[in-house]
Amino acid sequence: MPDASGFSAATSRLLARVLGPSLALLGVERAVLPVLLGLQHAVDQRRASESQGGWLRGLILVGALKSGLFVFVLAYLLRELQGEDLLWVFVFSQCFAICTLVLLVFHSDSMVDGDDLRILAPTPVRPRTVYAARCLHMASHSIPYALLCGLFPLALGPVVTKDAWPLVLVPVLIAAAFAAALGSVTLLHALTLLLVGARRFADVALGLRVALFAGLVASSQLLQRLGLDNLREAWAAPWRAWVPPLCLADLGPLVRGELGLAASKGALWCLVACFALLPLSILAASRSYLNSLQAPPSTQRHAGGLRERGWLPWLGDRLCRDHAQRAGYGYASALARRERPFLRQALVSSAGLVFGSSFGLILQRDDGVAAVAWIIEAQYASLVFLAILLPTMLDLARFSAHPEARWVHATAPLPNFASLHRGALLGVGCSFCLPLFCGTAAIYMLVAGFEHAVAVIASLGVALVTALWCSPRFVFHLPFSEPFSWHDDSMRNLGALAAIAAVMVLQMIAVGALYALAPAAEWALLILVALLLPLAWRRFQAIGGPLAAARAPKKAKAAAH
Amino acid sequence: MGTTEVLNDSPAVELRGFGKRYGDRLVVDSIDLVVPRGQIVGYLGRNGAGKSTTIKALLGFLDSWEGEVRVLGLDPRVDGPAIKRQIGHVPEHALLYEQLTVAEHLLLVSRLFDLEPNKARARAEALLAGFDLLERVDQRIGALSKGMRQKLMLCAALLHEPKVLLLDEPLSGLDAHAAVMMKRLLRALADRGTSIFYSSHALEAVQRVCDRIVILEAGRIRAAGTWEELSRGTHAKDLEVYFTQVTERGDEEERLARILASQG
Repeated sequence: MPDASGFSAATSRLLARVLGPSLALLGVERAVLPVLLGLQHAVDQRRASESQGGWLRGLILVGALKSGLFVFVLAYLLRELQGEDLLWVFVFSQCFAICTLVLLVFHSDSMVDGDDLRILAPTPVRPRTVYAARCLHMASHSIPYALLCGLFPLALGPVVTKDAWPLVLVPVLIAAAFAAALGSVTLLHALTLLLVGARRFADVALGLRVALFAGLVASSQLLQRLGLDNLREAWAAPWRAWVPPLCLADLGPLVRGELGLAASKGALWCLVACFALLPLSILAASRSYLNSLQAPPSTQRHAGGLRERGWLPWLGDRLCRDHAQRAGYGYASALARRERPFLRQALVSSAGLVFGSSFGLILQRDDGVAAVAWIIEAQYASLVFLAILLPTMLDLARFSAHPEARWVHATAPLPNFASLHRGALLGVGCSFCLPLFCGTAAIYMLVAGFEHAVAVIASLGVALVTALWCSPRFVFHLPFSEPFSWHDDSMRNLGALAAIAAVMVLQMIAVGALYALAPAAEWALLILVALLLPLAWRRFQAIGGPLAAARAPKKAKAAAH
Repeated sequence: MGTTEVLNDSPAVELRGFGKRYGDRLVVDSIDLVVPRGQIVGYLGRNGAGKSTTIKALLGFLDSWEGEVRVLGLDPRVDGPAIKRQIGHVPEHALLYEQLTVAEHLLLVSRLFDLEPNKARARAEALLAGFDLLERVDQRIGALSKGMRQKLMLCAALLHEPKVLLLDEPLSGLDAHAAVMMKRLLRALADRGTSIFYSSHALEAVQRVCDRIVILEAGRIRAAGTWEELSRGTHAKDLEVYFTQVTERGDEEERLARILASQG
């Protein structure tokens, strides 16, 4: 078995070693666990790209770091509520939210896919061992996010408190948040399968993931709008000591020795529960769970045959300029509605954002916000969509769950792939992005009233057209194709991360300064992003991608002559 | 597509001193081969003999090679699109987008080849009906059996009426009826002028179908000719025996003994 290298592989080996004795008590085979983990990592590192490319992961990694700092600063500013202890609740919550989002979008495929089980099924490996290996595999990939969430609180905590106890408390909270995220996501999937059965599991699990994602986004919206008075009320309520994560604030005084064990019972049970979720999840896994994942693929039929019907082909016939574009449009729009990585990652994050942010709109309406704020909200939503959907569109147009199937393009009489990829991007944009934008516009109009319809549609429409116009022009300048990893050969990823971090830091500083100077700072933000984008793209171009080879035909011609 | 025209009098495939090296490893060593129009040529060899490398060169998938390669008179490195327009290729493993339906795959291929839609549709329906796939036109490829996928690949390869067919194990996964029909189809296509480059390990089928047989070993041609020419002067009663004689390394018994020894 090849010894997979890289940060994630090393982390999973460490986890297997540390948690092995505890997992053995649950019936997991300690000796087999590292073998299964090594297998999964080796497959991950060699796969062209089943999950999204590293660009989006890099974005979230830096986002985790940034949010850790942001949350810390925000909570520090709110310390008037109850000393510094609310700070640690924010640290826990932010880490839990980010880790859960990452697991939902990138890694919970392990809970639904059964491809490798067909290989493992004839071997004498226990189902719980397979399940535990999957959980640890998910953990190894998402630990960096947790670590980044805790970096600033760990560094700044002793400074704020002028004491050393945050050095103990922060790691405990981060570990608990991470364990809670991993345990709740895996347990949720295991219980869902047991409840609804194999036939409906994939669809129900997809719906649950969208709902969870939306719920986390909506919760953040709700918290932002609670107001200080409501927060003070909740803080003073007697039930606070038992409700997670508010009860975790008692850990601070406990560690300082100001609060006894009896008074901190709520916090301690919450901690235990966080760490108990994963073992419960493993216990829920059984042979029937794994057997259920091996259900044969769907044989769903689509009416149409060789004559395409519906608005999507109609739109394709009008938008595409040549046969290659139309070919790309056709296959990409079909795959975008059916392929697992796209459905499970792009749909979860995009639909979750739509529903979650719409919840914030409803709350905002009750505050009687002025009309101009709706337009600004629509613009923000548009920017978020662009930031999330552009990389998704670009990734999908290049890759499929079966990238080897691209040979059909290579054997076609196309002088280059540019037109084909433009068509593919159009196909993804129309089949996936357009319905989401329409849904968002509809929600906005229903909540805000139809008097703002023109502004909302114009705003979202500009964002959609921008995405469809920009993406084909950047198609040859995409960065790496492998999933983001800390493998030595992928150290070039750090350059892209640095570029993203630089853009985000500059953005924070610029937005803060501009808000102080002018109320129309959002427009300034757009201009700033437009100015900085070429710099970032230029940095990305230095990293070779698979489409770089598509430019080779000209070079090969020259060499042949 | 391009402005390059296929030379009507040129052979379907022409290799002159064709060689390919990957680093220090010589995969194909100076092959000379001509496939005239309307002929079925069987291209045989052990695993790793260089068959796939030859096919890749013909398709223009290689950036460089030694010697000369011509398909219908054109250089694959220079006139790739023009050549591909005339080639139908069926690879050994059916690599298809699992989530597309049969119809969607053929629509994709017809658009990639810029076929007139009505004609492409009529041709696709005829091919699907001929291969008994018409009732599965809306079924996802992921739900098809191996043989059905193979049939779909053949439909896609024939959709644009190619002048040259590059087939790698075309009978793989086909049931007996379909295999018999395929052999008859290939013969009929060759009689109509289509040139067929047939790579396979199914030696019985190659012996029946092919006009000429080329045997590759370690990157070199070991034997070439009709079956009558090859079998003349040997005691081989069929191609399998002949092939084994031509390509044997002399260590087969030893290797068999080692495998048996590993089983205790």
